[in-house]
Amino acid sequence: MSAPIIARECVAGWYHDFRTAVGLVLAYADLQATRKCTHEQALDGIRSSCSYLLEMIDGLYDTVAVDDTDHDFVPFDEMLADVLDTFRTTADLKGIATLLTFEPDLPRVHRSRVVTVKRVLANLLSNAIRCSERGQLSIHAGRAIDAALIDEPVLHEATPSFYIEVADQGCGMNRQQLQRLLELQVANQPRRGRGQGVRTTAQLAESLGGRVSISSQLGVGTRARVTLPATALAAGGSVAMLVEKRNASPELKVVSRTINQNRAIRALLVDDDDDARFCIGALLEALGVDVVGSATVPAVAMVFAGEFDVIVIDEHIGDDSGTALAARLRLAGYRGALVGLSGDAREMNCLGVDEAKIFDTVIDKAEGVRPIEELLTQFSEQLKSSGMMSVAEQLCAN
Amino acid sequence: MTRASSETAFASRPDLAAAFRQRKLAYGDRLRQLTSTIKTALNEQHYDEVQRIAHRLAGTCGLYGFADIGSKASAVAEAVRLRHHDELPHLVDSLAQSLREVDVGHDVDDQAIPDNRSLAGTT
Repeated sequence: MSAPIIARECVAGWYHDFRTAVGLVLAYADLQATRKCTHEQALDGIRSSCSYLLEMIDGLYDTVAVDDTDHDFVPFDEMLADVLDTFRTTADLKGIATLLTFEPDLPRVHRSRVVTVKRVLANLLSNAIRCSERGQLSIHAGRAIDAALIDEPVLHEATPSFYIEVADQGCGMNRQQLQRLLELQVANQPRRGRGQGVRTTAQLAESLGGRVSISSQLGVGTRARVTLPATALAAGGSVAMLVEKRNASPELKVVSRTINQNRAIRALLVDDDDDARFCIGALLEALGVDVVGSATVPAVAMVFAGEFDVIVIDEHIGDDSGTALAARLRLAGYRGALVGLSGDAREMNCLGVDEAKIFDTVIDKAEGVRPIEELLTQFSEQLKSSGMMSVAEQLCAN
Repeated sequence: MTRASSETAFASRPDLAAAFRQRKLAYGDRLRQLTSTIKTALNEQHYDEVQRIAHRLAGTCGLYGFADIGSKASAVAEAVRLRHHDELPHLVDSLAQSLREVDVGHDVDDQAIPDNRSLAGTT
């Protein structure tokens, strides 16, 4: 895209979002004038809309004067609640119930990214409320794992990310309408009042390295999800800073967490052999496991290791030792299950360490896939009976 | 037993079964290409490279059902590790022969993931 087009798109995006915020203020004033809401409701709505407007004005300034050295972070849940507050009264008055839920331990967001994420959410909420006359509006935030297995060669590189999903029970769209909407996301010419919000939302998400996906069913409702890489939430893409802030400690530590029995097991699969990684990844996926594959253990995967219930790691990764990496994960506080992959059982413990003390299980790849299948099946069964306590934690406790 | 095993693994995911079949065909091609690579490495006495190739084959061939190649590769890797270099020409020749003749089979559809232990029990 040329500079003039980028500038035009940028201005069009701000134009749309400023207009949305000012429109909210006017709407609350009109509601009060026509006695369709109480004085307090109108004041609350006007106050939160003006706060959002002021934040955007500050955000506009920050686009040319961003300070990435600023260590000011905002909790993810507070950020979501702020935006929802801005729209809550309009939703209430239409009889739309709002429900905000989020997974625990979501990251803090650097101040310089807050306005962008808020604008994305505000656009999604604005559209959802406009298209709904009843029912429930759900906003949920959680962790996402990108793992598209079939595309290529192996699973995607480990990219911890987060999503915000807005689901309404409004009019919904048929396939043709949805297709037109998706086309507007990538349309070249901004056209006032037609799809600018959709395009702005997509561009904002892209500016953070994320993406927006939309599904809809006519008469049932629409579900929009924005997925953002974790790196996008920290200033300058510094995950280290983000994690340091989370832990209030200068050391990088793995943040462990319990898992919900209603979701799939999450596995990080580390093997530098593409063919082995593909095969084992496919097997895990067939067992219903969410798999993220990686040829190495990049720093970001170390940091987010706690998001995985199981880490399956080859004993030899290039010139590095998977066993040593596993040991580092344990030292960093990883409490999940560690499964070692051995290419040759005779080479076990060749580093002079007892691998049984590091790995919960070591699988000899030469044996074939059946042992892996059996192991993961056992994990699944234990998970179902373990409630909120992770299988991995039980293993460690034992 | 082979068919039963693959059905167990990918029974509910024909998309994965298809992807695996494609992968296995490509893997077979890569194995054949390794024939000259490992022989060249041995001729040039690049023992680290011989071991690297053999070790990788030892682990991965088993996953794709080429247990015979896997065990031959394992023997090569072990010989390098123990510095039994005099045994290598014979072992690498045998491995190279198997690599050259690797056959993913016209019935690859039926052998998505073999159960090597079962195969071992029947041979």
